[in-house]
Amino acid sequence: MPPLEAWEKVFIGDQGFLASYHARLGCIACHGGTPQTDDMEAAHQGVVRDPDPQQRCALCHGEIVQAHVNSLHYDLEGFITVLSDRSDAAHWDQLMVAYNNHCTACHATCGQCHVSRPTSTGGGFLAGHVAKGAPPPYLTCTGCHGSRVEDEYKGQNERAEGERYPADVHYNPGGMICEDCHTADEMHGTGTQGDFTHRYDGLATPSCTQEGCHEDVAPGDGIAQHDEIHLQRLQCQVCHSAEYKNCYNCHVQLSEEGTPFFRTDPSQMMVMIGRNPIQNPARPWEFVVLRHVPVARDSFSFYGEDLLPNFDARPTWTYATPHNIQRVTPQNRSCDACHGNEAIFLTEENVAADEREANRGVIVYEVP
Amino acid sequence: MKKTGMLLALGVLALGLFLAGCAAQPEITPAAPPPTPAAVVGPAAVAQAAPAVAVSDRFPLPAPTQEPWIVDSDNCIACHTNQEALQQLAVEPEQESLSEGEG
Repeated sequence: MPPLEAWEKVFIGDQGFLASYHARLGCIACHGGTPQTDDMEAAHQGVVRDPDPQQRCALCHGEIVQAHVNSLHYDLEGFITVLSDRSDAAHWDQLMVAYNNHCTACHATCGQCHVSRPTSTGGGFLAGHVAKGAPPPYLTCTGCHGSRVEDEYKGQNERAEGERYPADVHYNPGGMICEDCHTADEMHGTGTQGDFTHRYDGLATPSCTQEGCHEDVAPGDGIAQHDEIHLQRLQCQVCHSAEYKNCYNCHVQLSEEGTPFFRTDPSQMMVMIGRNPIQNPARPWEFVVLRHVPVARDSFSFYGEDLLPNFDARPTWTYATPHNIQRVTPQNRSCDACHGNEAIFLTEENVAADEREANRGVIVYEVP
Repeated sequence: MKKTGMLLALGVLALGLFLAGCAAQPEITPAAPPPTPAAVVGPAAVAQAAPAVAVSDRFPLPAPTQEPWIVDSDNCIACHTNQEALQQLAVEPEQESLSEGEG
């Protein structure tokens, strides 16, 4: 995303904000601050850069805010879910210090999608403070979902010198954007989505086969591999995902000045098929693609010893929905490209020895 | 025989109700009234009072009428629409990041 200079981030240009409804409220109604002074410091006394949705936005957008404050984008409960599984009560307070320092930067308020770029990317107005009904996805969504989703979707991952992995077939200049599949209801947690504790709770939406998309995929549709066995046992991505990014060994700490930072090992691009860790009626497939998430047993060791004492309670190879869909992929070129190909299945040998216990449920012990 | 029994039962029930009505009434001590809810001032009151209607029916929204809530922001606007002033005043944040690898 193109960088903004400091002044650009807060410049109200001629994009139409002053003629908009939000401008009628006045700056101070939402942001606080001190009126009737020309002194910059005095004017900014009490300014809230990112207004509280429940205190401000909810005055007019009550229904959406009420749902959104319980959504994963706002309450980040997905983090809490996995951390609480891997930790315990005795280590929780120490772990939460680390969590607050390192894991909450992507907390999405209304303004961080509809008015400015996310704070985690340095902020800055999207269009001179105009509130965008549909956030520009490549200035907002990919601010947080960049390393994996954006790079895969746009084909920005390097395969070799001067060569890149292919972009998702749904992406091309002027092609499908995030909102084409991910609805406002999904983003806000409104509608029938409910109060999730993890991003793969609830229905498998958006779905490849939903109305208006590939709803005609079924046995007999003319594609030999779309038989009952493959369609019932395999998530679509097992055949149609190109290599995607896997990350390892994230360790967090603070600098001497107290600035949070992290270090991760180099990522690896690969497809890894394993057993479905969340098999349920909404995601009934036996085999799915798994992505290695960057957590390590000692990810938070800067903050205390053994803060993830139940590390093995969750797999480190997790259910994934990579955004790099191809009609033809290395693994679906032929029967042999997949069947018996141990390189693309999460066999015990493909899992680090220290993580085998955590991944018992997803390891493929017998390659089909 | 059945009829007589039913009449007898109804009679006993009526007598019971009559006697209960004559019993001494308990002394009722009125409890302190619950505190009066604090009045909500400002747009929140408008929002709470608004009937539930489809979002599409709510637009265009009327201009806010509660003038006291709207604080004069002319000084903010004057500066934040002045590119030259902002370029002089805005300070670039320190960008140095110690992080290594992909987040």
